[in-house]
Amino acid sequence: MKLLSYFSGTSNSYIIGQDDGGEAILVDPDKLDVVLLGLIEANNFDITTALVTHSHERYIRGLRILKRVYNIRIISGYEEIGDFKSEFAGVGDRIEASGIGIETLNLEEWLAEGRIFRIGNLLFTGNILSAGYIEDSIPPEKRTLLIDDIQKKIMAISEELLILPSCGPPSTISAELRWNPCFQPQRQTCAVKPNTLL
Amino acid sequence: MFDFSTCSRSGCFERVWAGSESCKEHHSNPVDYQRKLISEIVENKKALDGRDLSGITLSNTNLEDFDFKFCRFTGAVFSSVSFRNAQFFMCLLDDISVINCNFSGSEMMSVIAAGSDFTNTNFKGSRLINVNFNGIKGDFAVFDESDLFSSRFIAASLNNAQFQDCNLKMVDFANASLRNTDFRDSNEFYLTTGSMQ
Repeated sequence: MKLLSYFSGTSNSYIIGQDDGGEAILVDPDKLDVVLLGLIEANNFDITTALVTHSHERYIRGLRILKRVYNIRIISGYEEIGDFKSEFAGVGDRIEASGIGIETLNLEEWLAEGRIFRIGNLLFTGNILSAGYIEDSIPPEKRTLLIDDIQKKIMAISEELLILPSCGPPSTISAELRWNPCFQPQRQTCAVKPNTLL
Repeated sequence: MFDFSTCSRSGCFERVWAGSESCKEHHSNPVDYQRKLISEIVENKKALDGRDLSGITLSNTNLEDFDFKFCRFTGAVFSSVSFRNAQFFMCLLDDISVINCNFSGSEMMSVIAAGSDFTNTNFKGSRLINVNFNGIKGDFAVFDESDLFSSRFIAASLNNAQFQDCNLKMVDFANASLRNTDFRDSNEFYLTTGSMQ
């Protein structure tokens, strides 16, 4: 399997397909610009699936352009995203798309309609977990429960998994266990995006 | 893509070493295997894509202007290696040890470098975008005149490091140790509870 990634300046999109090209999945379609299209074409990929971890205006824009170029199937935790019908992925579901097996992880209570998708040793975590951060929209009183749930249901899978978030740098489970403040015993400044701008 | 298989030796749960079928300890001929890997790197016309070079030990080598894409160097040890103007795209540089190496003018994009030892390393004039530097040892490292947009240095040790005239937009130094760290002429950055004196 081949993984490509594209950082638009605000968020990350990922492409997963076979080594020799053909059908591929685009995760969290943001800007479908010349650079991303070039990356897709250079690897002989035909995007047949859009996997959306959570709803965001920029993904709706991305899907609009993507639909004009490719004949895609949209998979997410929603029945509809913007004007588009989406195939609903329930938590714990196993789906096959573009010839690739996808698993949706169970953090139902926290994600609402958002989803974390696992493909092999890749975890597409959307905005729930990225390098040193966890989701910041959870009320502080529930944060500890969320952290416990992430530790139980994600961190325990394997330290080898790659974390591929929608925003911010990629990481590994091993790195998060060691450096993410939320997973340290004292949980200092945990779960908040930076709030002090110097 | 990145291979996270474990050693083929029964009962061993270590990760496979650099694209082989066993860990370094259980490899039948690690010395020859590493020699072969290094010669492949050097002869590879300055472009490596999708190679697993985890745990490799490399010294006194010139890898200037090399282009690394989707390569894995986890746990590698580099001594007196020049990566000047090298490019790293979506590579794993986590837990590497860097001794007397030069990364000046290098480019990194969406790289995982967490937990690595970059003490005293020169990154001057680099473009290090969306890089995970969490937990690095970077005391006395030089990042002057670099673009570090969207990178994170959470819980890193950056005492006496230099970040003069850098783009630090969306850069996070939360819980980092920043004693005598020099941020002159750089723009804004995030700091939640890092110690700064």
